[in-house]
Amino acid sequence: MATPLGNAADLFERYGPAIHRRCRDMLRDSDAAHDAVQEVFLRAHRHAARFRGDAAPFTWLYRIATTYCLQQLRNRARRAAKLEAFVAPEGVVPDLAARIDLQRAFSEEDEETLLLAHLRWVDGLTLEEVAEVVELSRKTVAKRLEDLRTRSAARLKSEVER
Amino acid sequence: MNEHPPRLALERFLLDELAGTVTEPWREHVLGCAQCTEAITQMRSEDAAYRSSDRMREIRTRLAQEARPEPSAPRRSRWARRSVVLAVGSAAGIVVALILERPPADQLAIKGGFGTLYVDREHEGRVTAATGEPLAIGDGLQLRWSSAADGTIAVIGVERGGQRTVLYPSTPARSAPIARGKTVDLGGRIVVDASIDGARICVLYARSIFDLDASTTEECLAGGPRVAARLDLSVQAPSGGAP
Repeated sequence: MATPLGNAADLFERYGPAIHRRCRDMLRDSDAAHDAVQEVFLRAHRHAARFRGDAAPFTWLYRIATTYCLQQLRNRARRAAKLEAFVAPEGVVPDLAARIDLQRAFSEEDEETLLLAHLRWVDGLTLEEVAEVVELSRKTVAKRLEDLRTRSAARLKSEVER
Repeated sequence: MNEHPPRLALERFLLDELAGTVTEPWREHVLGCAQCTEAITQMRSEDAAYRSSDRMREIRTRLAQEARPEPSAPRRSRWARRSVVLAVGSAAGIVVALILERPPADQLAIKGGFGTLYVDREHEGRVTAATGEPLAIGDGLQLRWSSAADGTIAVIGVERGGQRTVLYPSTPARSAPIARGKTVDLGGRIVVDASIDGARICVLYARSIFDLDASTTEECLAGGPRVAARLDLSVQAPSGGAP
């Protein structure tokens, strides 16, 4: 199917390796990165009508990939304990304490905020660069990140006082 | 501004798509920076390796399947061609089977609401019918699940000598949902021994990995509403007078 983005196969030929690198760097797991690349291009293909053309195709794919990988990381954090309880042999106690930080970060913020935070603080993009990737204004991005900082500080404060 | 460009800018540079983006100012830096040039060279070599990998080929195939339009009413000539292909294929299959003097593979298929569990039984080196026959010690069982529903995960549990085992998903990292129409192997080959007599194999439908927990195996084996297929196994006692 031809889309405003171009043919899915052509998109993959051009951007597949870069998207694979993005997924691999985020997930740090070769098999998971492979699955992620496939999923990113399938999503791009299925949702091609949503591509407005304001951003370049690569930027759009990069955002889909980042969002998808964050979902996977969030899922990993959530299911780690559950699955270990499900498959672990008797006597093996999952190390829950080691996951608490990751689990909290991934469970308490919505997907878009997580995306903004990752692009800004993990990837080191400027506010303008983040705004370009997520197709929001610089002002909105700055406000959302500032709100996140405020919430985090409040959470930390309440924990310290507890 | 950071000392070096973010990865996004390097990717755009490599793709020659920096122009017109807010990362464009990084171009001069990349061109004059030995570290960034080295990073670009490394990325280029990764790209070449990935492009020739089996994984890229797999995704190409998958995307081609996805992009294929739904078939409209089949044209007569196409069906005619297919009939010829099928006829030739069937004839070839029969000839091969006769040459090998092996019975045709006969599967037990347990059809449930969410898919079908296929069981191949290997008996004395041959695949034979499993339906209703007691298993013999040393038989092998190969299990496959064909999903009839999107976004589901099939879980198979075996209760064997009081021990319960989950065969699929085998590890959390490979617990991808099974798409409609996709067939997956479930846990490799089970070798039949005396302890499997009275065992029960079951497949459970779950919407996602989050629907699975410690009680899932219990539900699966006890026959809860999400159970898609079950199979009770019995083992033929060894015959003959050997002590």
